[in-house]
Amino acid sequence: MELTITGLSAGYGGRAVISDVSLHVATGELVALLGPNGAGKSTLMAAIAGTIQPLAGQVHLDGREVTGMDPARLAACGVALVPQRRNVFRTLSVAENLAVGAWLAPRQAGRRRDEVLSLFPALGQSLPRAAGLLSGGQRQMLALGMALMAGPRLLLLDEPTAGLSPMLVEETLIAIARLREAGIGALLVEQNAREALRHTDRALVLAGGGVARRGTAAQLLAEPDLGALFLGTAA
Amino acid sequence: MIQLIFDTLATAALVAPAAVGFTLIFALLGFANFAVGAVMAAGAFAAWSVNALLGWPISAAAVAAMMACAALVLSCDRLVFHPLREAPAWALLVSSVALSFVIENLLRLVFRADVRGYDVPLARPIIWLEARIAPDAAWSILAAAATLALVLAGLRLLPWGRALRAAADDPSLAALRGIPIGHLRVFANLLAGALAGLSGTLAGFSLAIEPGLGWSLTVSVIAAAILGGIGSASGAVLGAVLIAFVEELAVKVATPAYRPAIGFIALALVLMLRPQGLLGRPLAAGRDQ
Repeated sequence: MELTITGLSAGYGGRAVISDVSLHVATGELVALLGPNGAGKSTLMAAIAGTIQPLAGQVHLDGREVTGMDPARLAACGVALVPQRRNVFRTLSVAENLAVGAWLAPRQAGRRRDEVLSLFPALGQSLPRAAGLLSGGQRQMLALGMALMAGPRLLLLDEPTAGLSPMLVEETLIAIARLREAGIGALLVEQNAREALRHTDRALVLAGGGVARRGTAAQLLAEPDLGALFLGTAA
Repeated sequence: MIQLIFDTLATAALVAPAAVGFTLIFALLGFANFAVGAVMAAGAFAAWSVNALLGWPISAAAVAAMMACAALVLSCDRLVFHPLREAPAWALLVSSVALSFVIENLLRLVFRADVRGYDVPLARPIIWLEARIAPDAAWSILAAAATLALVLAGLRLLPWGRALRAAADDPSLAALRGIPIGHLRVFANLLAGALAGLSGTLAGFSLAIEPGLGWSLTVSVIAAAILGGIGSASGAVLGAVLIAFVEELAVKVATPAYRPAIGFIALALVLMLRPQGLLGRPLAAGRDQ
């Protein structure tokens, strides 16, 4: 599934947080969205997923305009947003979260559940536990697993490695990169820029509500001033 | 002791079904619907109409009352609450109080203020282990228990039930997972209305059927839902049993005059000591994201 965003502006209370953002994610492509805190990354994800209404611009999926479409209808089109916070149903068990994730594809629920559990084996031991009692890492795995239960063709991942240990960050990014083999594309918001660039095809850097840089992962990693400007001291 | 347990279950049978509906609506729509008591009164009058005027058995009258209240609650949502969807929660709460007055006065207009009772044969209480068990109360306990067992099993096992619990937990995330929240709101209103109708029908056995019937139970229903944890159907049932137990205990050791105060006291204590209720959203063991 191809995602094309043209001149998108969005914000809260009529005030734009991002302005005139354009980007393209090809089928099965993994694109990183980088930038400092407050650059508008989560706002861009919310505007694409329909949880906030864009102020201007257009969002197309495979050439079909879906700008401002209701989140449930957009999910039915094959787009799954995994928010950074509040990304699991905390009062439901892990098994129930996965079952709810399969709402759009109930007939494939059994097969998809096996696939998710093979991707994240740690979830298999916690199926009866309430999701609110999981560790941060397990909760991120469940959030991603629940999104995969619907069989999405495009994932919008908002900092899926936030709060994880370095080892889990690596494992999670490898798992996300493996999804390309199944033809699932992803737009990945990530604070851990160097790690993200190692696993993605291309990247955009958002700053001040607009796209400051874009290119292949290798090109961006080679830019000498990029770390100081956008990636923080870790770069 | 047996008498206390039986009386507790008999009172819980009136409160628990309405509390389950109240907690689901509160979690899904984000406001406390104080019209629950008026809907229970409407349920009692619907059951009385079908039973006493049409001559149907009380079991069929209970089903008719549940259907009538489901339609009433859905209509109220469309006419009153849906247009206020973007308004703050306090506006919806105040509207629900106003709605309860409208429903109560419509009942007074149609049925007048006369006190009524079901047309059921009188039956002697059964004496068992020194406890007096009224057959009406025993049937009420069985009807409420059977209905709630079905509802709780449906919420846990059926896709729509799980979706309702998920949306009660986090409506935004439920929408992102493709769950049609608008359809779910219709489903939740129908379920809450039917359960309030059952509570109202059962209340008509032990309380006089009059337009203000629901007021005496409203605080108990809300206290049970908050004690159980908003959004938790099983918590609402547990909360109803605990509230009923404390009410019945107060009646036995003090005087029935204090019964209405018990709900208020329980509500205040829960909000002060454990605002998430007994089975409310668990606190995360890991890092909160």
